[in-house]
Amino acid sequence: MRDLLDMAARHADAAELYIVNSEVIPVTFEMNKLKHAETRRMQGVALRVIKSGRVGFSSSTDTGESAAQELINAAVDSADMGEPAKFDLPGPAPGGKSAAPLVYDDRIAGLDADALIRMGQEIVDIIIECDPSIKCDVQLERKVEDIAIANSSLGGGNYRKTTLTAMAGALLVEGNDIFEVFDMDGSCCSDFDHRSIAHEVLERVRLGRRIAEVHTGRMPVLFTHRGIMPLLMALQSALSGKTALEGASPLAGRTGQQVIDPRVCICDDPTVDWALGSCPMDDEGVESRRTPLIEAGIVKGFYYDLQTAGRAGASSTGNGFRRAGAGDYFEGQPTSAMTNAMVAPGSESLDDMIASIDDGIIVDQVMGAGQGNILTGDFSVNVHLGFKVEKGEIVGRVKDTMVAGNAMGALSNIAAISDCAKWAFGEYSSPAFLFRSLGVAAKRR
Amino acid sequence: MRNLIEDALRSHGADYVDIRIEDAARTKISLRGRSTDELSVSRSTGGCVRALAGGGWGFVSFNDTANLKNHVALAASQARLVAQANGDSLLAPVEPVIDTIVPTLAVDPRSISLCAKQALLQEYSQIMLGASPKIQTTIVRYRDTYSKKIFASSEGAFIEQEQCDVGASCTAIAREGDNVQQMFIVAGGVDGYQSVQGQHDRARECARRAAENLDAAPVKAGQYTVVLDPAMAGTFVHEAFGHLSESDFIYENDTLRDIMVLGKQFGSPILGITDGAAAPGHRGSYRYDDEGTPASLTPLIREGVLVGRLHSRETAGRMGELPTGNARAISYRFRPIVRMTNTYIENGSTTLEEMVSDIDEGIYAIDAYGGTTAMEMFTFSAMEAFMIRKGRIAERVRNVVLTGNVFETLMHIDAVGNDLHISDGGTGGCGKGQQYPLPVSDGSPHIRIRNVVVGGH
Repeated sequence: MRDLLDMAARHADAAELYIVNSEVIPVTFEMNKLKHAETRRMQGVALRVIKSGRVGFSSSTDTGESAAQELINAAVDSADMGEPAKFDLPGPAPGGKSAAPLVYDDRIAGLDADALIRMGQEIVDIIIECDPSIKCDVQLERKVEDIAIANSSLGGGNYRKTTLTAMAGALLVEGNDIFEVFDMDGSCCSDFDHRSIAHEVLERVRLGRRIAEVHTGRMPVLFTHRGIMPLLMALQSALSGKTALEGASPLAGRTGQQVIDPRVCICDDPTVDWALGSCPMDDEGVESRRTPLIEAGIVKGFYYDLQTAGRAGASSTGNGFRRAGAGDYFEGQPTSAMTNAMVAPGSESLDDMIASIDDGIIVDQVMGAGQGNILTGDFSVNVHLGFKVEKGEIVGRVKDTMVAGNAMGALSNIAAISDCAKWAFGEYSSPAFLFRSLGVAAKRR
Repeated sequence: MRNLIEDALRSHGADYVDIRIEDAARTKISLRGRSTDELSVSRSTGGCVRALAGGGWGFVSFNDTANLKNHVALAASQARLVAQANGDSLLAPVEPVIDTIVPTLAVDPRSISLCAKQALLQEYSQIMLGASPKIQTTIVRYRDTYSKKIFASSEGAFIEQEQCDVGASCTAIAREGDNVQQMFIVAGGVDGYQSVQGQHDRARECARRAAENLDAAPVKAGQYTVVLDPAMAGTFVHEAFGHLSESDFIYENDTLRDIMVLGKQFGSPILGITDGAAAPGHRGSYRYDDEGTPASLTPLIREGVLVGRLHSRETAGRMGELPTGNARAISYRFRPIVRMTNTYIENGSTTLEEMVSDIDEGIYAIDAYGGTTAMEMFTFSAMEAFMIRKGRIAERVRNVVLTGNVFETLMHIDAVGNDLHISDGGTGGCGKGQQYPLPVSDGSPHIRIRNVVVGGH
């Protein structure tokens, strides 16, 4: 690695290498039956250079000597047209205390397809023993990833990360009604109980057996930790240093101002032990740290990668990640991205919140979260899984229903926040939110 | 490489094995405003082995193509592991093909310098920024991929296929206070770099419309008669019906097979829907899929009746139907699954004027932002929309997101236009499972649908 870096550095003013090796073993059950066992091995190298003050970039799946020259030439050539570099590559990490989170577990690395098949079968068994009419799709996946980052300023580092994720979907078909419940969760630690998603799925199947009527109009809407996703996506977009820099964020230039309800606190925290989004450093070798974004409804800051921070006159928050699509994500240059979004819990019990609803709905899972006008925070989503509440009781599942609003507007008009934050899809942690009044559109039956 | 592959396929200990090897070169450029946000050149070389043994599938993907024999052995052993629990999947027969395909490109993107590509994007960016003082910023993206793929199977197939996909998108972001509106156009295709050139007028128009959308009022929630333009209707047919016609979600479920039984009346008698990679010149066009099955044109709905569906060899084999050449993977990192290619609603005979003329209050929705689907439910959103009042197209509205249930909505299509247009291009595509983006196209003439739920404040 050092050789390739030295070679590259001779052709440029500064150079950075990112090398990834990973092995993923997914096993898949379709409609209760084991169908696939896979092993996906990936290697990749990305080279970023700064030459005459401009950034160049190239990547390859060939980490061998022979491909080195092609990689270097491509990166150096592209620097002629690259954007002006507004950053210096980070030097060696300051020694001493390190907040590096735990992200590696030998016992996950040791899981083979056979072990994963047994775990998947347990999930299938729990679900169909409870209700034989359910058909379920289940996937267990274990990943071991080695990341190495080195640069010509002697910065960087390397780490190994393991993840174990479980996904389960339950399907019930009756006449033309297709009822689908989905969940996923995961951890970097083998203590993770994969069976818990089976119970989560079953509980929601139980609540949704009956179909309930909903009318079009404004009503109280409770979003569970899963359902809150479209609002959180709008906040994540608004809090991106990149979106703010370009003036496309409604929160741009509002640091220190009260923008939403004072009960709302959000931070980005890659230092949580064993969380799926955790890491000791970002993909630019900048040490991980907790970044407060909104505290007591006040904008505290934005999250940044090196280049965006440089352009904005800020510092990197350790949020430079390579996220170029499925598979070869290292083909993309680092950009501002969040790790674990953590929304602080409130003070009311979820049961009390539901009991307080006279006529409204619960949104537990949405479809189309990313297709609204994310920039303004406007959302309009299909309620993929939701429940009707009448006089404080869940009376059934809603169908063909949409809920719409503006994320900032809704978050300024909160009735209650639940006292327990939960991980949703292993991606973020949030409590449930009850909003006084949102627009609901439903099909007349 | 051919010797290496054929050697690896000789002894495997499985019922069936196939190997895919890919070598892809990609260029990506994106501009935000006037500055270059990303410019990268990448090279991806690797392969995968898929094995079927006693009804179970094993799959291995890798970058070191030298150790093919080891990968084959691992895939076969994984397949046998799965086979212990279940032994009944089978493949529909396909004649093993030996063929070589090279695309005909008017302008090969590999012959255009990075500098020239960047300059073209700069032009689009400048035009949009100058189209209105309300344009806050722009995002212009470009991507080209040239891939050489080899498919070989233990049945004797050996197909070398070269493919080129070029795409661009131009997004204009307009802002006035807290109000931010964005619109984009896409361009591209499989026949060369020229498909992304000459988009200047469209880019200017896009920026102008984004600025105009600042003045649009949010739509009122409710149930409306909607008229969809060809791009919006294309997204509708892809989301609302296309995904449901992918057989991998029904072949193992008898209840769903009953719902999707061929011969069932699914839509009004004026409705015809087709999918097929054999329709030449579109983003979802190819000669052979990732299982070596020749591309075809598959009628899905004729006169409102379900007449076909999309298959891989396995789903076709299990359902006793013919493979349609729809098994696709986004790259060698993934196994092929049943996917759409070019999906479109067939021409009807109504004009746009006729559709609008007898609507008292409705919505005309133009150009899709995106859409998504989960079984029978789907949702998709319009980039631009107008109210229809007393038979005329009236004021602009925004935040138009539609939702529906496929079983009801296809029945509620009561007019189909005669202006079929298939949309290609862009840098995205279709997503399913972990596999995104897959190049596809979709299209339609104008259509009218009754009783569509539209979300609103």
